[in-house]
Amino acid sequence: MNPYVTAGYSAVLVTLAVYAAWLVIKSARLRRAILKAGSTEAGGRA
Amino acid sequence: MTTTLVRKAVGVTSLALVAATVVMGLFVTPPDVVQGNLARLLYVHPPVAWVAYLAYGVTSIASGLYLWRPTRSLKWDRIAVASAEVGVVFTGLTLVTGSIWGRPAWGVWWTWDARLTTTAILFVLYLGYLALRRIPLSPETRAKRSAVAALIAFIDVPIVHESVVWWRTLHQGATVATLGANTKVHGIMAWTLLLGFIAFTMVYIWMAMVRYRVETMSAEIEAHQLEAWEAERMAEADTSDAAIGRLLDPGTRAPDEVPTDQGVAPR
Repeated sequence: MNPYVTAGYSAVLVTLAVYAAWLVIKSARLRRAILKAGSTEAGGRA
Repeated sequence: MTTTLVRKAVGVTSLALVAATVVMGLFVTPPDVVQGNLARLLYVHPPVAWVAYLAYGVTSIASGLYLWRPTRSLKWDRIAVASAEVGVVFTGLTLVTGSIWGRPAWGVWWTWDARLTTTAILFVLYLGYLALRRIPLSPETRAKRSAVAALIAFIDVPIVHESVVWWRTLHQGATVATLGANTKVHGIMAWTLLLGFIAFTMVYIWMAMVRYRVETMSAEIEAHQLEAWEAERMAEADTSDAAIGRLLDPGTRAPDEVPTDQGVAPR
């Protein structure tokens, strides 16, 4: 395989995979934080 | 629930389409008569550049809708930032893949060619847009300023696209737009290029959806934290008022202050 082709495809796939993973992790963390805040509020009210 | 399902479906579809593009681009399509295997890079470079245009187009439409009073809503601001961030990622990939292709084709990694330079300016403009959003301001002020910045930055998109027509450039002219009945591109090469466009567009849609969700949840948490902070300040203010009241009227005692004969608290 041409090394430039390998480098080009790798750059695209790795960058997109890293960005996608960051998005998924960030989204999951925020969701957990919202759920935690919601349960704390509900506990406080009870 | 439906949104989650749609997001998951788009994610799985885009993953499958990207995998198909890679397989087709690397193993199924024949090498080009002139460029040989190097032409395989062209199954990813024009599609990622197209996605960058698309992302900035969505950002400018959403920004315009935010600035227009009848449709003003922070939802448009969140769509604008979600799309712009994905656009910056794809613009970076456009520059990188173009540079990797340029080294063997032109003999240089970079040259101050009109297409390359205007694309680099586009990248910096939208990085500036994202930096502008980091300035601590009220959500409304931030949204308004960012929307204006996004619309100004979008002026560069048609300049990038037309740069190969307006100036003598090293970069080749419009290729995809000239694909028609008289094209000499091998059928499977043209189909693979089309597949690349569809695959990366789907990736953009998925990423923009998830990024929008992140932005919405961040805003929710920010609002929640602000409420908690306000409640804390209110409680502090009440305590201070009570203390001032006791100072002004010594006859009034707080419930936890136990009076003693000598005025000294018992051990």
